[in-house]
Amino acid sequence: MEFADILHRCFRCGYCKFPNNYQDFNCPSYSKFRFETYSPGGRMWVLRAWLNGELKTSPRLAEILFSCATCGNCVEHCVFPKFKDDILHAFLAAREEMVNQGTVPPAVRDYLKALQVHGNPYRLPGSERGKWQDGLGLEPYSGQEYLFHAGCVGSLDERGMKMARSVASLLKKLGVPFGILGTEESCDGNEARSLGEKGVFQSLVEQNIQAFQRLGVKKVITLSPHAYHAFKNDYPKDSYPFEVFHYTQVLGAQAKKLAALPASSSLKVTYHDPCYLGRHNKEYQAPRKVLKSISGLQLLEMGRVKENAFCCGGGGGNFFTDLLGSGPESPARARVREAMETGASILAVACPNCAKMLEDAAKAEDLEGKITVKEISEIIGEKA
Amino acid sequence: MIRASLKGLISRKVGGFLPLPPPMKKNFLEAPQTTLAQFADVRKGGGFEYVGGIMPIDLFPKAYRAGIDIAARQGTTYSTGARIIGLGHCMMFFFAYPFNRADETDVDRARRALEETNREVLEMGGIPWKAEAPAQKQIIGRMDPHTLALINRVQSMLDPQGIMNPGNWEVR
Repeated sequence: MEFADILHRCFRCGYCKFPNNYQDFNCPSYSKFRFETYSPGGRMWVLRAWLNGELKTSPRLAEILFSCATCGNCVEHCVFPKFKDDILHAFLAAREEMVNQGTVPPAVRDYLKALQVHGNPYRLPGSERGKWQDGLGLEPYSGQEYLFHAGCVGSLDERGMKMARSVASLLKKLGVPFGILGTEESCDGNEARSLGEKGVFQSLVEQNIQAFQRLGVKKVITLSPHAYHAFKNDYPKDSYPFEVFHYTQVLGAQAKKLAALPASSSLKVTYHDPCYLGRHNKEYQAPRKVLKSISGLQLLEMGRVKENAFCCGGGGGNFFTDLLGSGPESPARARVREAMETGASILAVACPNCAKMLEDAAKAEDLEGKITVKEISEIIGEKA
Repeated sequence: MIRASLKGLISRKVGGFLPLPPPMKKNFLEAPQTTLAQFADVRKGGGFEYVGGIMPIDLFPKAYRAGIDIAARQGTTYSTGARIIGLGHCMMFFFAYPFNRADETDVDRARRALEETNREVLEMGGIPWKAEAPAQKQIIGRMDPHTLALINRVQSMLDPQGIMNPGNWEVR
């Protein structure tokens, strides 16, 4: 297994589990299960025992490996320079081993099968993919400055579609020149990659690169931070170079126009950093710049923000496999409770996965009416 | 009853470690506290074990020389330090050995150094603090037979199936 030669160096000092203010556990799977094996250090030790033949493959071992949300808190807080850069790489390599052995948890198997057969995890025909933009009057991509990529969640999930419609509508109102691919759009493959299915990811990379090349796409705006991350960091730029932006970065450049919109009486908002925009790509400012440009909005930060943000539990494929999803100790429910403590009435998000995870969590926590989960453009959209 | 009888000693801080000198305190309060993890990585292998012998302060020179000799004999890297206990009636004096978990020879080397250090501490009249399983066996081997019998009876009563912390302090 790739990166097998680094596993023994983890001493399990445990800092990978925490944010820098130590207010609570910050590793989503450890926070949920509270067993050392579900923490990055424990996972490394178990993984080493597995590779050495001291531990057999089992459903429990598969759950331990696949419950990692790949949020990157461990990479941020590990005390070993260089070594820490490969912690997540090692976990993904282990997942790849399990995929090759065919011993993944059933939910992972079902996700990967649906993606291979249908091109999306929802088992929906390709013709459904363009429906999110019905009635918005968006143009098909034909050489505009940007291609807007809605992704699987933005195109096919009810909550994601609502967000995609809101973001695309706002970009259009602000005069950002963009087109969409609609039914021709393909999955970006980030979740296949993070679940260890390299083959499927590779074929999606080729599919997307070919489409971008054929259409002459130079700049892509993504709805999802997950797609942003994959396009930016895992697509081979030497074969076909293109620029990638998360939509909040494009909105950030329009902050003056946004500031000119009518003021709200008073909006108390807290913001949840998505891991694949924040920790993985260090973009903490653009979403905050957009929020701060909204007249009448008061930004109330949670205790764990930016590089210390607590993941909603939807990363690393867990949005679909739900290995971290249920119960009061699920990361999303813990995060919603933390948001409530700020006194905010709106929990702002910038990721379709986070939107759904946190919205469901707010319902489970019986916080409807007390705090509303809104994607950033949805807050602006009411005034634009 | 035990707590009440010890309360005076505890409140006068006779039983615990003396306050840390400022440079050590600064290190211990560093967050994240990286010293131990960095020491464990000296051999690029994520492991270290230590023997912290509780012993009279006047044994310091002898214990220091013994530790250095053991490390040289076993070919191990080491770190050493001491903490004064109570009013100075004894100290916790430690030798720590890092090892590479992926290198069995290195692990064996550290294991032998630990064994020898534990033996030396007991020979000097000290007692290993927070003893790991092999050190526990050495202590049990020298334990007063009546104490051993008492521990055995208490364990048999509270944990007849031997399920509590198995592998540790198994005196039977």
